[in-house]
Amino acid sequence: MDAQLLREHAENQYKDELDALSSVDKKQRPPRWKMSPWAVMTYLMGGKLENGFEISPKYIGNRRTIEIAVATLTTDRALLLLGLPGTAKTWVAEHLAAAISGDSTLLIQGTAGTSEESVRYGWNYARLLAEGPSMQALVPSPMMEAMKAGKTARIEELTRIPADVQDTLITILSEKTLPVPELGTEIQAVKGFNVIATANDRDKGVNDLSSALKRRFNTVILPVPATIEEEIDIVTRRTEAMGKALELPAEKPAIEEITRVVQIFRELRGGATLDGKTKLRSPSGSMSTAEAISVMNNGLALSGHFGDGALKAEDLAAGIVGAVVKDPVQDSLVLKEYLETVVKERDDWKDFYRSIRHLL
Amino acid sequence: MIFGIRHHGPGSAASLEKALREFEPDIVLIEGPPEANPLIKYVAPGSELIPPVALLAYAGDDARQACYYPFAEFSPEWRAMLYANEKGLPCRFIDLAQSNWLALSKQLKEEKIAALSETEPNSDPNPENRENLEAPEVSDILPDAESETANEDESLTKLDDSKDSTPPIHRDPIGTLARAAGYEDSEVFWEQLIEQRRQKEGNACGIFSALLEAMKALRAQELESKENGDLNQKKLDYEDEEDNLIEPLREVAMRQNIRQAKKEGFEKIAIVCGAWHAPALTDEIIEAKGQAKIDAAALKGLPKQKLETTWIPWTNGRLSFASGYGAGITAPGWYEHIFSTEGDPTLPWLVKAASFLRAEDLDASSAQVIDAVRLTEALTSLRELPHPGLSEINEAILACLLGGNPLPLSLIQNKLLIGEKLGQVPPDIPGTPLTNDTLRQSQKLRLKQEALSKTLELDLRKPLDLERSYFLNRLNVLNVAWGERQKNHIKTSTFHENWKLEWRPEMSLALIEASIWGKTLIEASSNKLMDAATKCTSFKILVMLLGQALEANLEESIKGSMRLASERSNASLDVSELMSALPVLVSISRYGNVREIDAELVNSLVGHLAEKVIINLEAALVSLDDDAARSMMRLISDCEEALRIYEEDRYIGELYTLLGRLARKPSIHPLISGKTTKLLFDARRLNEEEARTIMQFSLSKASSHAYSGMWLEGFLTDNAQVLIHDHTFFQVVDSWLQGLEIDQFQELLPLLRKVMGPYSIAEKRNIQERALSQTNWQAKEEEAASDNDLLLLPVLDKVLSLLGVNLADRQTDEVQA
Repeated sequence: MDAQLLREHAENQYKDELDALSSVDKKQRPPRWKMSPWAVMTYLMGGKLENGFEISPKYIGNRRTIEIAVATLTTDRALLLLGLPGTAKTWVAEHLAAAISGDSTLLIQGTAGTSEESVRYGWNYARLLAEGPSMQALVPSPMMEAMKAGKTARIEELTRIPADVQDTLITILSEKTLPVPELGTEIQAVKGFNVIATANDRDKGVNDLSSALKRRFNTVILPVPATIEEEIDIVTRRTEAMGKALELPAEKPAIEEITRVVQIFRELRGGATLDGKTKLRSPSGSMSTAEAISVMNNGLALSGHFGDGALKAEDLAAGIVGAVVKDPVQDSLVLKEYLETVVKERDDWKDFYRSIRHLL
Repeated sequence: MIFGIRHHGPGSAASLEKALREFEPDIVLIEGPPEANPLIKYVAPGSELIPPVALLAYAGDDARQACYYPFAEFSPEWRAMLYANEKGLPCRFIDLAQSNWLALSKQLKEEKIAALSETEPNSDPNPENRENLEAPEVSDILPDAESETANEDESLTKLDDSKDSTPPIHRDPIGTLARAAGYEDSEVFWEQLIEQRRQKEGNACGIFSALLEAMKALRAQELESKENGDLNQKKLDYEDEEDNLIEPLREVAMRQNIRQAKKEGFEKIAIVCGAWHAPALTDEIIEAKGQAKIDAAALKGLPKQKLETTWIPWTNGRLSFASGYGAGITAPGWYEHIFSTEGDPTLPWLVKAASFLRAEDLDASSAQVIDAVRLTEALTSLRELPHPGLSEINEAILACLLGGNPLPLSLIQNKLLIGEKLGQVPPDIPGTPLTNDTLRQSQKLRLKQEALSKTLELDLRKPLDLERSYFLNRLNVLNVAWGERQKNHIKTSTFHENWKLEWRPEMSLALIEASIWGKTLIEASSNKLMDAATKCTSFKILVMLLGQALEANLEESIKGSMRLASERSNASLDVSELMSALPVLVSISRYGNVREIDAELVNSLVGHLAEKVIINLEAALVSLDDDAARSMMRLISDCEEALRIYEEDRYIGELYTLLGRLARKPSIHPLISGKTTKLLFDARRLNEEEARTIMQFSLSKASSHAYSGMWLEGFLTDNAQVLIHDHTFFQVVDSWLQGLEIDQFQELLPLLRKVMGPYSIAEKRNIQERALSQTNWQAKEEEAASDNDLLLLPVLDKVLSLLGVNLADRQTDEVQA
């Protein structure tokens, strides 16, 4: 069993940090929490403990946002993390669950095909036929497990779950109980149970939450990186890491190229040039950091396999056009306008102007 | 007893009120301009003076030199005045006389300018550049005056600046205290400790003594760091220089005034001042040996300026930091709420927020409010704060009531956080600078405030009349409709204007209300216009405001709204909006020189708009219905005309290239392709042959008759000449008409009537004549029977007669005329 895992669960990967934290944590803990809210905050945001132990930051960004998330989980309200792709929703949810319950595996993956069984419970049919309905024949869902054990359950991509399945959550969240009518019984949640859901509200093909369900969540929006420096930092690190993992032959990208790509993304996303002088129209796509990273990777692959190995504007142009133009009519107008009014005016951006222009 | 407070601090105000009742002073001294002492008596329970109001001190001869002291219901100074008047105690302002202060800062500015021009002697003979140097002082008068009020309070209200990296202590004394107490944010520290303090009965004075001690320690520390040559102190900016000169003088003046009160025999003196000043006013310093002499000497020989003071109405919005008021507070509405609520303010505040949300048709159930209260509490304990602050509550509203979406919050933000509220001033208070300025100007322009309605005819070529037009337009901007612009039916030239003048009493009130916008008519109307321009969301309205600014000749707002327009134009999605704005801007650019508008700015905006229109026009023409196409047709021809006369011919060329493509594109609405063909033909971008080909194509049998009819509408509207002078066009139209079935013809008749109706009589007659000669020509060709001419008249002639163009009738008409 020594096969190397591709990825460890958070509670295993950061076991020493969690242990160190709970050993110094003297503050009051909510029922069945592995550590106090203060320690959870420290685990997520990083910091140095009194005994000199260094906790690495898991989330880089606004502390207040995470404070709201943790405070929500101390009440009996469920937490909904909203945000664009690549804003670390799942990452935060996983680490919150690991810190609070010491277990990030009670996970329901939301898809268009998620059924009621995966949220409530299913049946072991062989047993059901042999013995009739009984507790033993029942196959519990991660939600049910969490309720029984007073742990944190996670739901990934809540908005992808069909609306009728979403509705099964309402009773669980408001009355903290899961009825099993077949057995004439119910599972009641133990103190410490809570739910963290992540969702993407701007994506296509999502089922909007009913207001009844929405009302049972406290919503925290994870923002896109606040400053260009922060975003350049994230893109640089992720691009380097992924380039290594994918064994791309190209040189690692120059910081100038990353800066320019991030700048284009930020400007189009924010609807204004960075100097704040010109207002722009935003394209229909989300222009997330994750996409900027994939544009860089794409460019690296292009230059490595087909170019001379050095990342150039031509290698990035196709990726940028692909990221911006999601709607062929409206978005290409947006990009054209951006090119003519902004990119054209920048003296050292001529190569970008030419290569993107060429593709439009 | 010294009561150190924070201006507009509700907690300070509440504590102060309690402490005053406990202390029972025999005189109340307040940090404020002594010139305004006679105005204190208006502050009384049941008075018509209702906050938010501001004390205004201004130079009588130049109202732009002025200073505001705003007060809200929850301002400690206001409570102190109220208390004194209620108890019938003497109450005085003890700050440095504003007459000295204004004169000093004016002197300082002049020295500064002198110094600047000395350092660069003659290097800039260009007077324009010189003007640039002086410009900020003139144009920034309003914020400048307010920042003086801010300086008055450099101790506490600069808190909001404290986010700049490590400021010197006197810029952020509370920050230093807060860090010492383990708070990261000085604002939170002060809020928690002072403003949201819920005072137990008794010992209300205790907090003020504690504060005095804290400030003493801080000032000692600051002195030390100054002596050690703190790096931050070396680079003195302009404002600091003024601070350094005036701040000590203010404390000297306060001490002198306190001495005066003591001399008069008052024993229990209550001194209300910014907490930072408190240590300088203690009895030890006042009674220190020799200090009185030094102080008296310091105040001798200061420059002076004659001042007038008055109360003017103020708004909560202008109390807020966002309005540019230096001593502003972020959320006047919240402070008012804390001040007026007894007990825990959280729940009532959330209920209020929920009701505002419901008023905006957003869901906000009581259950959600309960959840928000709980989250607020959880956040407060997680952050280890004694009371929930505004940010905790706001975050809870966001998470529980709004599903994380901040947009609805901004909907209610103004009502909730700022609390739109306008103060009131009793009518018997002496006039405001704005009313005085307006009166002065109206006398100069020989306009009398009369209740009688009368008409005024203006000829804008005369300087006096032009000024009058500007004046009336400016008043209109301020919603003072003294003059109402009338349509001039007789003289249609652009330089004639007719105004109906009628002065109504409520207008003086409107003028006083408008005082918040500025001290002179120009300044106030300009500020108000800019405010509207900044807030408006529609590009069209923005351009309208720009037009208004032009008519009122408000240079600042012309420039400002022009800048806004250029920003908005980038974001506007609506091509038709941009297109309707383009002609306005082109005319500004053409006539702008007369008004000395920055041509480059206008031209770059015109260029920008033109480019955007050209890029987006084609996409905007997809699947239009007839009405939309008709308005688009008009817009296209307006834009074409505007760009044609515009000095730079680059854009018209691009537009013609685009139109050339549109004219031949089959999927374009026929009205538009007809119109574009006409425009191109007129501009000689299409030769006769090409235009005829397009026409024949559009009128060919395969296209539906409705399509052809509309195409003709587009092509022939305002275009009689082509039918009169061009034989071949006439023929194409004629043969198309002949080819129509009778019911098709009947269907199209109203449309054709609409097209040709507006042609002039002469044009109609010309066309008819051509139709007749065509008949003759045809008649000869075909050698038809001459006794039945009428039958052979081309159909166009019949159309014309159906249109009511009867040759004989017209001729008699003209003879009679």
